[in-house]
Amino acid sequence: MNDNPQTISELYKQDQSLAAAALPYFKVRAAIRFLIYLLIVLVGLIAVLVAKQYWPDWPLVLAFIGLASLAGYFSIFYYPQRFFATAFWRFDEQGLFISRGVIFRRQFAVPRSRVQHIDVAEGPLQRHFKIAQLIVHTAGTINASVYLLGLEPSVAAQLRDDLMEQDSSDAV
Amino acid sequence: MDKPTPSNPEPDNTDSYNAGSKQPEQEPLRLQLHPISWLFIIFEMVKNFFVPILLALLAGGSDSYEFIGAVFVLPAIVFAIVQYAVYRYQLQPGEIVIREGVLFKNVRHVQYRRIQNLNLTRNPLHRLLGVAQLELESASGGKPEAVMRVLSMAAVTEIRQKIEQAKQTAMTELESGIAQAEESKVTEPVILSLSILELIKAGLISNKGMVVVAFAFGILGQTRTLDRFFDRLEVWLEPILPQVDWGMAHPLSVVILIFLGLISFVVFIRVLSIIFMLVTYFGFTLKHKGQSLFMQYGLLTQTQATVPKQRIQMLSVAESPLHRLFDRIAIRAATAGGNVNQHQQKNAARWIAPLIAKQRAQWFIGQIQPQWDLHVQQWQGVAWRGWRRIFRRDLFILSGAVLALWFPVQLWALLVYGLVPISWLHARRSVKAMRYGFSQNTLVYRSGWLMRQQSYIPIDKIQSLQRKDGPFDRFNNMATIVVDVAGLDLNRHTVMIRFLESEQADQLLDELYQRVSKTDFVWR
Repeated sequence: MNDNPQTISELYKQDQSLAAAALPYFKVRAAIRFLIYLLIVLVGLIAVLVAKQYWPDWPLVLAFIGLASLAGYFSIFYYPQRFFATAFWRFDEQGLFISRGVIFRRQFAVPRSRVQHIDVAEGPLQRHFKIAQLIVHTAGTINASVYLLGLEPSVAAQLRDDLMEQDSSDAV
Repeated sequence: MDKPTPSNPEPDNTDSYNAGSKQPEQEPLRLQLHPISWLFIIFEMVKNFFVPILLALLAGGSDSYEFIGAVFVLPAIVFAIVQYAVYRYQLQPGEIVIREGVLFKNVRHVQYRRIQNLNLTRNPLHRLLGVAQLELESASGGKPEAVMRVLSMAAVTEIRQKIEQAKQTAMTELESGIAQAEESKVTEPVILSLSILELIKAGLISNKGMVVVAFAFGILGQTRTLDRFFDRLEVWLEPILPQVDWGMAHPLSVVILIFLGLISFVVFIRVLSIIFMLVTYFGFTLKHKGQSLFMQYGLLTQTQATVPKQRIQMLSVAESPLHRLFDRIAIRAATAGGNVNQHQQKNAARWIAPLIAKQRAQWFIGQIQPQWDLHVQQWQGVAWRGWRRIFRRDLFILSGAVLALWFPVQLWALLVYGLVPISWLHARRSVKAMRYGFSQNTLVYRSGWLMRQQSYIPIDKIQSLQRKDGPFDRFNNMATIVVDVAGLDLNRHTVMIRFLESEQADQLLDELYQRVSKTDFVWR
């Protein structure tokens, strides 16, 4: 754990992009979400159509398929790609800085001395893609916890250890 | 009860690990709550669970009181007595040990020096029986560490002394120098006390009456009392205004009626507000007490609270048009510990000055936080063109309203656009009012034009920073900066600076980040 903390803040003081494995993870996650939504919409639609005894014409069906595939392309390919390409973080003497988001862009700056505790979380899908999520808790109200998803597990552990080490020095 | 630690069949064992160094040769007595406690435990339960049920039953027109008694009240009494019977507390040298629970036994150790707030509540019944409810809060946030319902006044004094002793010994070790220096500066222990006249003014200014009215309407509406009230009102008013045609046929009578109604409503609200303020804040005093503030208020339910100055995270000064009329302001403090947890909101942020003369505000803040520098070196505004965004958004909403009203009333719907000038004025004024600035060690943010609010956050209390922009922000090359501190009440003024120029936001984020990183956050 005590492998010279200086180097870690030196190592990541430039803007870092997310781990390469994060992109396929984001895409797969988006695909799963999209399929679930699509399924819900389809079931609802078919139920309504059956109830009303209304059978749509081919153009209408084609339009729906077109719309769905457009939405699918956007949410499975375009959006995760953009999210991955624009997200970055850095970790230096000041603390952890995170920037993410495509439509609503958010940047978080969490100073080192304000970190209360840190979680490293991995879901089953995240484990499969070897991706970890770092959750940083502060005593704040609006952003009491700030997360950074898409790190290599080893990097997440490094960040956690480095933050924890100095955390133990200042008693609450 | 909150955090059951099930593995504790013999509470006696716990003493062996409590503080390690303490020798168990003469164990302090295990004390019980005041014998009347069961009554207050029942009251608490009634307050939390049964009032809604009772209301529902009453509103439903049911009168099966025996049923309610059998199902709810009797078990409650038994539960309360058992709870009282098993509750023990022990004043050990360095900490208070509380044992409670029947099935899930819970032993809690609270170190005296960790106790931040000591809240004492006494309603008329408490006072009649010479007891009080004591809450011990630590910095951990959320619920109080212990709610002692209820103790005799002698027991309260004993606990208080223990805690103060512990604090003093801790202090002498740590920072006696600073404390004494600060203490000597303080000449007058009482910082603020509110006379009855001041409280009446506070009532005139506040809108608390609305809350009471809303609540009353809710209940009365359920129980049909309201209908009867209006029937009687009509009978009363009839001889006074014989000209008014109660059949509502004449347009003038309708206008007069609405006018009278509005006036009496406003008067009514004000009267209620005054009563509310008098009852809540009667005898309000705020005093220095070592490193803490001690406040006491209340006519029926008396509240005493101790707030360590160190734990004040943010101060907000509010000034409504009515405040300006009386040349007064109100000051609110966000304190860490009592978190966003809904039940604790009264503790998360408090009116430490429900009303104070405007020219005394700086002095007041200087008294409670002498190390905060209130002098803003240079105020920064936000992007002026931001007003167009507010205005456009309002126009959009108004148009939506017009569209919705078009089908029922056609052309009359256009009357909604009468609000456009107000929106125009509001947009311009409110963007003009937004400004922020730094002093040596504090960030100050001001906003609002009718309701002016100004918040002070010392740099070392800032927890984290956020910069955000949405599509509209980016289109206008703007961004928002959010400054997060502990213990905020999100319904109140927070430092969320909108309509910053994009580069300005970057700069502000950078500057704040640098400044905050250089400081250390200390709870204490």
